[in-house]
Parts: sequence; structure tokens; C-alpha cells
Amino acid sequence: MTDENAPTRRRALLLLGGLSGTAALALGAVSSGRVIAAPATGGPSGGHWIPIGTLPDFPDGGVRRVTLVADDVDGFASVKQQPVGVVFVSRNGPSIAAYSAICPHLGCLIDAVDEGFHCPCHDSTFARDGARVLGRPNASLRGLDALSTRVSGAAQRVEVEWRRFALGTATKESVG
Amino acid sequence: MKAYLSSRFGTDEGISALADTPILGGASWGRAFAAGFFCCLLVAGLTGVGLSFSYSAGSAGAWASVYATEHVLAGGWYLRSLHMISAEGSIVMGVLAVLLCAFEGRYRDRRDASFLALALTVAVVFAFALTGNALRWDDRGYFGFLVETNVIGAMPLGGSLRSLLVGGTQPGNWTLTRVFALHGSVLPLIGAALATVCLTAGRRASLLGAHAGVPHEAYSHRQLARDVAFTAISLLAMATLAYPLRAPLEAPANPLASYDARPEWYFEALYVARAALPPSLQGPMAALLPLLLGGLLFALLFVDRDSSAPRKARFPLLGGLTLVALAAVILTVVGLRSDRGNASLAASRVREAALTKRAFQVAKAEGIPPAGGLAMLREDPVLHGEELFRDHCASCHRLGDLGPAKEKATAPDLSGWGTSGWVRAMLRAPDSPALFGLTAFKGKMPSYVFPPTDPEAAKVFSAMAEADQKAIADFLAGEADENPAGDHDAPGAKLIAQRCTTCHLFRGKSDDASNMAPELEGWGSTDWIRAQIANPGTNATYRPASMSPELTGHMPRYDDKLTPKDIDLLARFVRARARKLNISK
Repeated sequence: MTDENAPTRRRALLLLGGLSGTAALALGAVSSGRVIAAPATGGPSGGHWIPIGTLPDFPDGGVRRVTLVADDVDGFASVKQQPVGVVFVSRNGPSIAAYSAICPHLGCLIDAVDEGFHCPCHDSTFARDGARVLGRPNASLRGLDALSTRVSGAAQRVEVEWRRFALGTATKESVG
Repeated sequence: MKAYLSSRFGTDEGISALADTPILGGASWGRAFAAGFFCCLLVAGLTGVGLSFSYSAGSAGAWASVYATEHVLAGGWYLRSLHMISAEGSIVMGVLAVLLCAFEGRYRDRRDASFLALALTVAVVFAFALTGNALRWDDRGYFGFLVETNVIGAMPLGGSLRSLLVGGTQPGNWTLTRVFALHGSVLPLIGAALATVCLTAGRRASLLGAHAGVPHEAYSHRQLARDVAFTAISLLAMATLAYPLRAPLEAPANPLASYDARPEWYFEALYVARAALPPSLQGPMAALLPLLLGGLLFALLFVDRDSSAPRKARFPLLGGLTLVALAAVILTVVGLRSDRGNASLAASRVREAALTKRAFQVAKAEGIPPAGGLAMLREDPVLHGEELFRDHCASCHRLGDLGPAKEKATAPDLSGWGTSGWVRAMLRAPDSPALFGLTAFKGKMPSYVFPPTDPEAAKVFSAMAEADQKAIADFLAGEADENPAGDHDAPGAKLIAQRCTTCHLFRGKSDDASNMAPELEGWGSTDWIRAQIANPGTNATYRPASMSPELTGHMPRYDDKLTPKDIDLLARFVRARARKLNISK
């Protein structure tokens, strides 16, 4: 080969080398990227109804802490009849209300106290009806997340629709 | 040997090149801290590799494998401690290195890229901390990670980063796999790349600078000695501190625990700063401190480039850096001190310590099942029984410390239930507030010791003889003892058949079929309690009349709410705990 061809050959080799290197990187990056992003791209799967007992099981005018038990999926494993959430259930005559016990601030579990509810992590406080207690520093931007309930049948079976909501926001948005 | 290494790998030339590397501006303390920083990183990396040989990423295996590393594998606890100390040491060394290098102007004369790479390496260490703490999958690691990712999620554009870290909506199996991949592969690669850039770009800048006439001295002159000293001190400190300062391991992560999460000390300043903001600003401004710090450092690189003409404009920036650093220290101290004075946090920590102790006991005695540490705890009669009691019984019944306030109880206080003392108390005053006085059954059973209030009835009342009371109480306590050699025809049994079956069932017989008073055979035994919890109105314990809707506040049935396994656990727990306690006055 003559010397005049050397620069063209060198350029061609560099180009080929660059292209194959980029292609290798791209192949690895794209295929990995898809898997890395995969679990994160699943949208909210929606709530599911979980039975928690019958209406007479709940004291009228009182509040009870209930651990919800259901079949669950944890990533690549499925589990049967595991505790999946905690709710506070308050009954007023024939109507029943349920609140998620997950603090809407940063996700700690809330305690029931005499005057309502209190989160031990950052002192968020809520009244009996789940509303934020104002007039004192309250880290949560919204009240307790109310969950849908339904009472059905002659036995007055109570069910709660378990859902999770985005944390640290002023508005309640379901995230599955 | 030396010749072999030199001819194949160029070691002789490499060593003299290193020794002769010009240090622009003379020996530096910032560089010495950087040497200590890289030494800590190296130890953290090597111990990390060792730990990854005994780690299983997944909600079932994580805690179990870390427990085994800490308590079973020879030298495992030391490896964990060393990993933690070197990691935390690298934070201290790294931050000091960056700050000192900034003050010494070690970013001038084309060393800006090298300095930036150092600062970014230190930033990556914080990412190591965030991912690393989660891997234990104990309560502390899990809830710390949960709060940290929730804080990230609340920042602008943070939602996607949070989803990527968590691998879904809730931390679980997918979280551990990707956090382990980040902590063990991705971040080390990024860190190593940045460290390489820092060293090679730094060396290149030094050579160019020396050539261009910037005052300098050889590396081997003074800097080498400083670097060696700092490296040696770091190594000694790490090796010795790993003995007293152990890596933490608490109880297996329980997403439904009421855990009082607190940040690790190196994140404390960020939390205190965030918490000081009004709630609506906390989301967007969470990264305020790091952004300020980064911004000031970046500005320095632009403003002050030439050591022969240092710019006065660097002073306000350096002043700003000092203030931010001081603020971080003060906020950390304030945060840690306020935690120390927090009574409810202290109580929560005491509870967690007890739970951790129990977890280790069970793991050692019974082993950890394939489903993992949390499953192990959920099947532990002592712990799960108490949890079940709290969830299902403690709204009405008291049992020791558990349950509502005395005046708010709507069911008998179970403290001492199953003992002869409890029976004696029932015979004496069944309507006392600790027994049935606050329940729907008030007034159903008369006292056998004190006359009734009605004067007519009081005239014909005669108290039960002391010996008879004792016989009944002893017999029933014997039933509760589940003694197979118990006397079927004990005096107490005869007395019950004669005097109590007016209302009560005894061995299936009663004078009053419509009464609700319970069956006394097997009273206090596990079978009796199991039947009572499952369905109180089957005649095995109480009777159908006791489940009437008119009796508001009667005990409901639980066979439609609890699994048979849970009912059994709860029964065992109540029986064991009740008998250990004194009856409530």
C-alpha cells in the first residue's frame, strides 16, 4: 500500500473502531436500561378489597387499629395471607370510616392517641376525623388518607379498599 | 524480581516518576487528607468485596445473611465493623480534604477537573451510604431508606429517581436487588473512574504547571511523608476502632412496625435543615445544603484559576463555604442532642432493643426459616402473640401493661386469669371494675361473699364457706393447669356441679339452658381459650345467648378474622402471660 492511502485507512479504522465500540456500549446500555427501568415503569395497580370483620365488631363511637391481611406480591415472590397494611377504623352508628395508618408526611406508622392520631417520627398530629391539627407545627401537608369502605350482606361484612398514596404532597394521589 | 517487575511493568520508572511529581504550591494538608480518604475508600471497597461473599440480596435472605455474618461466620463481625468504620471515616476525610483543598487553592492551574473529580467522589460516598444502609434490611436500615427515598421523591424530578431506587412503589425484593447492584457494582465503578480522573488529571496539571513555571516541589520532598502519615493514622484508627464500634444490626425489617426512624449522623444536618423549613417548602428545598456547597465550589473553580494571580473574589466564596460547613456541623450537633433528649424516641429504642434481643435469641435457638427474619418473628409465639393481642384484644381487655386505661376497659382484666386468685375474686365481687363491672355482663353473677343490695334477698343470703371457695378455686386453677392427673372428682368439682350449674354449664350440664354463663370444665386451659377466641357462643365456653346483639360490647367471634394458627398462638400467649401477672385490684 502506498503512503497516500495511510491517512484514509487510519480514518476508516478509527471510524470502524469508534462505531463498534459505540455499538457495544449501546447494546449493553439499552438492554440493561430496559431491565433497570422495568419495575419502576409499572403504574398503580389499583386497590383491592380486604375484609376486616363485621359491623358489630367495631365499637360505636370508637377507633380500632386493624392489620390488613391479604395475599401479596413482593417483587419476584408471592406470599399468601401476609399483613399488607394497617388502618384505623372508626364507626359512627351504621357508617364506618377507615384511614390509612401510613403518615402522609414520610411514611412512618401512626399511633392512635386519646385526641386522635399522632406520628412519632416528626410529630404530625391528626384529629379523630383524620384532619390535620392546625395551630401547632405539623409536618404533614395533608390529613390522614381516607380509604373506601363498604358494608354488605345480612352479616354486615365490612371491607376496606387498601391503597397507597404519594407521600409528602398536599393532595392525595393514589400510587397503587 | 525487581528487574522482572521493572522490565514488564515499568515499576522503577513509575516509582521515580511518582517521587518526582511536582506538587504545585508546595506540600498540602488537603492532599494529605485526600490520601487518607482514598485509603479509607480502598479498605471500604476491599471489605465490601468480602461482605458480598456472605450476602444474599432479597427480603428473605438479607437479614438472615447479615445476621449469620455478624454472629456465625468467624471474623464476620470484624469485617462488618471495619466496613462501617472505613466508610464513615471516608466521609470525614473526604469532606475535610475537599474543604482544605479549596482553602489552599488546590483547584488552580488546570487542577479544576481533578478537584471536581475529588468533590464528586466524596458525593458518591453519600450515595454509597444511602444504598449500603438498606442492605441489612433491619428496621433501622429499612425505615432509614424509606424516609430517605420519600424525601428524594418529594423533590422536583425526584419521583423517577425514587422509583428507580425502590424498584416499584414499596421497598421489597426488587429494591434489594437493585440497591445491591448499585452499592456493589455501579457506584464502585463510578467512584473508581472519578478517583482515576482525579489522580491522572491532577498529575497532568501538575506537570504542565511545573513546566509553565508555577512554584513547586517534588512529591517525595514533604508531601509523601504527610500522605504516608495520614494513611498510617487512618489504617491504625480503622483497625482499632472496629473492635469497640460495631456495625449495627437490629430486628428484621417489619414494614408495619411503628418505628421511630432517625437519620444517620452524616445525614442529620440535611434533615434538621429540611425540618426547619415550612412544610410546603420541605419537598423542593431538601437538597439546599448540598446544592449551596456544590454551587460555591463550582464558582471557586471559575473565579480563581491562576495561582500567580489569585483573585480576591475567592474570599466571599470561601467565607460562604466556611459558613455552610459550620452550619452543617451545628445542625448535626443540634439534631443529635435533641434526639438524645427525646423521651418517646428513647422508649421506642428500648422497645427495638428488646425486639432485637428476642430476634437474636430465636435465630440462635430455632434458626431462621427460608422465608426470612420477619417470618421468623411473625411465628414466634412470644412476639406474634403480643402483636395479635394488641391488634385484636387490647381495645377491650387489659393484660398487664397492654390494653386500654382501666376505666375505659369494656371486658375483664385478664391479668391473673387462670389462677385461683382470679376465681376467688369472681366469687367475692364479679362486678368489680376489673372483672365484669364495666362489661355487658354486669349484674349477671351474684357475689358469694357479700350480701346482695336488695334487703329482701339479703335476709336469705349466706356467704359461701371459705373452705368451699378455696375448693372451687383450686379445682378451676387445676383445670387451667392442664394437669392430666387432676382429680375428676375433687371436692371443687362436686361443689360446682351442686351450686354453680344454676347458671353455668359444667361438663355439658346446666339447670338453665337459656343462660349465658360459660362452661367451667377445662376453664383456663389452652383449648378453652382457643374455643373462646374462635367463637364464644358454642357452649364450649360461653353460650349462644352471650352473642345476642342486644348485649352490646359482648366479645365477638374471631374465627372469621384470624387463621387457626393465629388463634392458637394468641391463646397460648394469653394463657402464659395472664398466669404470670397478679390480678388487678
